[in-house]
Amino acid sequence: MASGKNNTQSTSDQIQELTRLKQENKKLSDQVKRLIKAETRLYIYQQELDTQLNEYQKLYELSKKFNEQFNLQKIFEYALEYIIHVLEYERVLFFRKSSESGFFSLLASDGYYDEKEKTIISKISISSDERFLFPLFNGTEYIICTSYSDNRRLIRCREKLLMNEYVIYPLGARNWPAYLMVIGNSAGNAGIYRKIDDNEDALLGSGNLAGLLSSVVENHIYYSNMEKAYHQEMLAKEALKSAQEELIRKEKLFILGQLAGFVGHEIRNPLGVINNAVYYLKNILPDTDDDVKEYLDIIKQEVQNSERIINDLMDFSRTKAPHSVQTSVPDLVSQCINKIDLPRNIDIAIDIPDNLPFIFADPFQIDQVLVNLVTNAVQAMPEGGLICINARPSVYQDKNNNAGFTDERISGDSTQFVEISVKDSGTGINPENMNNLFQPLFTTKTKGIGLGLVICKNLVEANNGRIFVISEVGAGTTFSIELPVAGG
Amino acid sequence: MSTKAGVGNSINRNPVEAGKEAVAQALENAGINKPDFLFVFATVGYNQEVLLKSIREASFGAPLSGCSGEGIITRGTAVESNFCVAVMAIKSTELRFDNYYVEDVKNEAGTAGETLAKKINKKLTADNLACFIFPDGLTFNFAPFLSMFEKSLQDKKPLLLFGGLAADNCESQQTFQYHNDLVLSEAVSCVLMSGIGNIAWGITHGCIPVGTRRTITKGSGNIIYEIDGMPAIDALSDYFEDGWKTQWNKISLNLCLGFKTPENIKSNYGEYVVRYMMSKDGENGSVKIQTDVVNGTEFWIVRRDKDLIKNGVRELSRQITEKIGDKKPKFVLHFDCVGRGKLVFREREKIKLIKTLQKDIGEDIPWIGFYTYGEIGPVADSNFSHNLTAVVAAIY
Repeated sequence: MASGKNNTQSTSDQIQELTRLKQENKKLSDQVKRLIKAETRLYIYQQELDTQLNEYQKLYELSKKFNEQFNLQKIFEYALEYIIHVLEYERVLFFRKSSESGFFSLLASDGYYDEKEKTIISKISISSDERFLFPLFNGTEYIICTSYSDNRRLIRCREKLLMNEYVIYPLGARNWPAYLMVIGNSAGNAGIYRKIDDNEDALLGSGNLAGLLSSVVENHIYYSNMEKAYHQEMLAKEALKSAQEELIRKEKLFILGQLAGFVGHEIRNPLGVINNAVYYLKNILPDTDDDVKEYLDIIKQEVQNSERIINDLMDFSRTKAPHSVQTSVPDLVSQCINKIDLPRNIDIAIDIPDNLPFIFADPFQIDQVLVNLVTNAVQAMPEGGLICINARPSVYQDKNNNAGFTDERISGDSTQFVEISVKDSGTGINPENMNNLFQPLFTTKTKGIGLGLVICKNLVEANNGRIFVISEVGAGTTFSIELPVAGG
Repeated sequence: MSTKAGVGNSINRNPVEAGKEAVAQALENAGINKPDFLFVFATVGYNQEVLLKSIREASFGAPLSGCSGEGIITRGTAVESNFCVAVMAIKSTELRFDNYYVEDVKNEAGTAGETLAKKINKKLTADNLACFIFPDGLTFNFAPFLSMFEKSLQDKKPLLLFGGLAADNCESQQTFQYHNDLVLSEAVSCVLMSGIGNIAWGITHGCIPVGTRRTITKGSGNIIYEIDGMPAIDALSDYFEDGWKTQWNKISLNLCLGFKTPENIKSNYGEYVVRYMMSKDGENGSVKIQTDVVNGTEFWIVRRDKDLIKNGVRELSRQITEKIGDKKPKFVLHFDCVGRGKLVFREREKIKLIKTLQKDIGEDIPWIGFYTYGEIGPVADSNFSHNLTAVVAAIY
């Protein structure tokens, strides 16, 4: 009996154990199933996370590229690459609004690789009067046409964009976008590309990019406007400064002219008295000692120097109107050479063709100019050298236009001129002094008051001519005057 | 006698530019102007015809074989996007490449095997090294194909088969096989490699069984209708995450079937042969795998294990380097399961793993491959199809 009872007990235990094991097994099996499911979820999330991380990393790199770039076209090229390769949409278009026509015309595109499609899309433009765009001008963040959209206006645009689904973002100022970004896919290979869906997750990547691009575009527009305004301001300031300088220069010249006239007039008389006194003393003291004679000569010489300066001042203060006549250049040059006491260490070479036409000028004034130029040439070669005086026919050309010479009287190819040049083999003029040569009171000489070249310029211009200079340090300087041909 | 090989790739979206770019790189890296043969692997985002035309033009019409993959593998890179292409250009005075194709593998895998063998018979020589095959990954059934192929092949020794099943980036719509100017679907592209050379290869998977033993109670061909007396999908549905109906390809990769490895190859291969369920039929609750099944066959649910995959890669390079010794491979072909790429590894992990493998086998070796819907590689000289594995063949 006991044995039977024990057997019954044992069987019952075994059944219980079996049931327990089955339950345990079921539990374990369920746990495994849950684990497998969790692992599947993990892998899917991991992949999504990797995709999002990649997007954000590339967006960060893109924003750095944007910051380093000022060329908007290049910025849109970077954006195209991001949309195609990172966001994985099939097609993208950027439009720019023309302020004149009001049309959005194509600026950049990608994803159209078929030649026919490329041609079609290259001609695309969208009028800002298109009604489907209106929400964008009222502050809407984007307009979207999904593959299942039933909005007739949006559907009509599919054909134009060659897209079955698309989203349009405004770029630039809210309500008044200067650019449009259109992203989308064609109907073929729908599963290959990122779908256009009207929900936050689906549009997160493109929305982030649109936000970034929009601020870049806005900054660019502001920057361009600022740059333009700054440039205009600079130009205006420059013009104002130039006008002020010219005004000051003219005022200075006027005062200087008056002063020069007054001083010249007031000093010329006492100088005449001194000169007469010297003459008288020399006559009454013919046998005086050598020292007295020397000092009288010094007084006479300095009086002459002072008279020359006064003459310059007087010439500068009032340029007389020229009495132009038919004048021979060789005669002028010859007179000039005869007037100047050339040092022995200076040679002179004259080259004037026989058939050189006469000029129409005031011979006394041009003689004065030539004397001045040759005197300057002599002074530029204290160690001696060669002066070449050339003359040749010429046609007016803007040689160095250092004075902005635009006198209508001598412009035009038909006017014939004679160019007379005085070239020395001296040390040349420093480039920084070139612009000041014809300014009053500018001089590099220890003697002289810097009016000689100003007077030359005034006289040449009064004779319908012009003066210009070419100089090379160490090689010498050439002053040239151009004067109109008689009857030309 | 020499073999020059070089690999180029491109992620350009424009198929014309992508094709040109990949070929130009490949030729430059090989140091040749005109190749004898090209291996081409690309993803399905491209207009395949335009891409192939561009490749053909850029390579002066060189014969080519290849297929679409889920991604491409080259030295230092593994790109799994919808737009990537890899090209290996080869010029050799010691190797020959004869390429073939057969169509309609969907319904007549056996006939396709027979047809291919008959084509190859004309080129059978003593120096045939191996056949690389690239079948459609959505419809291909390896068992009848192999059976008829080997039966019809007039060769005394078995011809080694390597390759990968064409993929379509988990779209389950259409894969593509490339043969010269032709872009095919539901076909097999194939190249017979002959000449002076050797092949060292390695195969490894990284799956472990979970749960208890299961039994196929109703199956036919490569379709499993019932497991443990209930519709196959119902028997497995508890393991599936929500959304399995629409994301079958991704979800089913996480849950494969492990069959006991045949005794004759167990020592070279491991305990289980893994089979991926390439499609399902919601109507009758059946699932399809890439080889034939027999009623009463036992199996275990298996899952991928990242550590096992990583260790397997080391084992794989060991298998190869043991065979090649101090010789340097002329080039390497690599067929890796779609389930071993971004669907299980993070991008950095994946690249690191690929680089480790490439470094272990040798620096500067031209390397091309793709992510497949199934791998093919011999085990102990018996041709075999695999899932969730990496098959790497080094030609030296």
